[in-house]
Amino acid sequence: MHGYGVSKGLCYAKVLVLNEEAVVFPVEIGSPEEEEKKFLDAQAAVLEETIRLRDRTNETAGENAADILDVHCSLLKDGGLINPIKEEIAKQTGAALAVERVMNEVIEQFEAMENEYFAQRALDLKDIKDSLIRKILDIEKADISSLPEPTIIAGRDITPSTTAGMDLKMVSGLLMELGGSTSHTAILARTLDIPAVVGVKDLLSTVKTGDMVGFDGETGEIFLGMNEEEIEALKIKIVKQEKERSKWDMLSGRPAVTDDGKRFEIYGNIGTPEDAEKVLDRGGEGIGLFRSEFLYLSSKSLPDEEKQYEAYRKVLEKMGEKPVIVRTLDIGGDKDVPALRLSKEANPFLGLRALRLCRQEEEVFHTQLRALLKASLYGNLKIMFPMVSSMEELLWAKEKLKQCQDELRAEKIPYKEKIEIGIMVEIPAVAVMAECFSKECDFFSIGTNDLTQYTLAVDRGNEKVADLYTYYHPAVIKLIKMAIEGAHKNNIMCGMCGEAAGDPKMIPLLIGMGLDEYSMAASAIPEVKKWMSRLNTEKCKELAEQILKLNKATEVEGMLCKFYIQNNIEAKER
Amino acid sequence: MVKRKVVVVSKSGLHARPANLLTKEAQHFHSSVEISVKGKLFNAKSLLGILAAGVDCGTEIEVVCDGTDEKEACEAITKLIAGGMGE
Repeated sequence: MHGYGVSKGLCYAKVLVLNEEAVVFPVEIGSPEEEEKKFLDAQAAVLEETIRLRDRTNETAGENAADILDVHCSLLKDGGLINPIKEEIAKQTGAALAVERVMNEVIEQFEAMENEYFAQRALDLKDIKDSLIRKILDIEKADISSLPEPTIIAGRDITPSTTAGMDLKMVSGLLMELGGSTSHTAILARTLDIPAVVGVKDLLSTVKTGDMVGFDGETGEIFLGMNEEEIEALKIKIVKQEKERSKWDMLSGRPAVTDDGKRFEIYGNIGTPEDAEKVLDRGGEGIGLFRSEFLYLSSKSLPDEEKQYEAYRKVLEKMGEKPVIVRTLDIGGDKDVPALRLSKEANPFLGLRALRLCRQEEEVFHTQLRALLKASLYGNLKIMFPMVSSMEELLWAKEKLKQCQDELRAEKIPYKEKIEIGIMVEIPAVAVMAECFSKECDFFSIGTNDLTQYTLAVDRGNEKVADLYTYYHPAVIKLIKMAIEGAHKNNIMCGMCGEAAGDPKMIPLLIGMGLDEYSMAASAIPEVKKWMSRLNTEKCKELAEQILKLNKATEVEGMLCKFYIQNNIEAKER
Repeated sequence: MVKRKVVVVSKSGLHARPANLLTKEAQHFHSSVEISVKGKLFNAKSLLGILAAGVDCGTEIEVVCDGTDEKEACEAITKLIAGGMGE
């Protein structure tokens, strides 16, 4: 069995399948006394689990993180909840359905209050309701917030909000039935340095919770039914892989300089403030992409100014003088935010997404810009706008930023006056018009994932067309070239934060076309740095010239592959 | 029955942590513990009750206790609220 390998690395561990079955309420129920007992037993059991989780969280993550679970405990004991449920059961309603009815009523009330705090409590109540009903009906729910041993998480789809609640220390790999190579789970896996394979057909009908499974996150191969020898061989390879990684780590302190002495900026992509440490460990010289979405995806209500400010400040302080490019909210598309209650669209990737969404939900954008400006004092902040497709949008975003600056000035809240503003080049229109856009901003960052998807009209998350999705396509490469040249005409820097920037095969071509900054998952930094030190910029320029004459993606990849192999061997022979 | 007025000084009013703390304190007593907000009574022993009262910072509320230990209860609850509950 195989799928698309999206995050390098071998792994071998026990599988946990995420269960997403819908709840069916039983028609046949016991007497009110029996049903009440069922409910009270479930309530006691869930309470006990929650108390245990609270105490453990208190030890591992601190009091603040445990607070929320303490509220869960209080709600579970609350007479205001327990008594109406008992009353409902007395009316000959099954225990599970009684919980559903009574709690939905309270949840609706809370949701109607349109206040962040109540919205959060409504979601707490939903969690509790879910646990109670599952307990009553004896539906097992995979608990991924605390895993007792290294585990491979498998699912039809693993949503960003699910991964936010995972016990990441114990996740050794991710397997997904859906998804292409740049689905957000894939990106997350790379950021966290966890092997992952997506688009695995028939995964869930083959693999069950508790199975021991091995897979290769690079080739996408999944090893089933291995004999003992094969398992041993795989385990040895995994140990070797870990040793290799620590070797990369030793190299990470040096800057990225080519053989002929040209220096390039190597940055890391991060999804949460905690990832910044990993980038520094691996020798990243800045943050080329801080995806601010985590704030929106992991919390069940919109993050306020204070919370955002804390997160940005944390990263800026950690990075010191090193640049930190924060991308403003990029949701919509395949990233849903429960708190925004976005409606489903027929073409989400072409719809209300990122900056477009911000234009509609100005309040959300406003809060984020204010938080960013306030945090700007603590380091070298740069702000980047995603999904820009027209000059009007860029000018609008800049105007909004200016408004926020004026506001803060009036409120006498300090912020840094000079903040560089950039845009993602991910829509072909912007690459084509690069020279115009570069007059209005301080830097570009090419997002190859979306640029590829929009140039080739291939849904990057759809495994059925995954074979058509490739940034080696000559059209994508020409657009990258146009973006770089457009930036340089007005003397601004052009970087890249898509997957291509961390692909060793692409690096010589990108150097040859003049890309200034390379931002990638932390795990890729050491390898890219080492590889760059073997390259000669003149040779790269020649390569780029040849590549730009080619017509097919396969030819491009072939030539890049050949160049990579030849130069690696030469370097080793020296 | 004992009643006493108190102004809520905790930053987040009687939401979040303060609401949870208040419920826990109220549950220590045998007496009924209620808070009166704009003429309406809410059960202070229930987190849902306190949340439903929707008390913001700066609001004056009345603590109403009734039972064998009503004096102690009223004393403890008003002291807790007036003390800002750590916020």
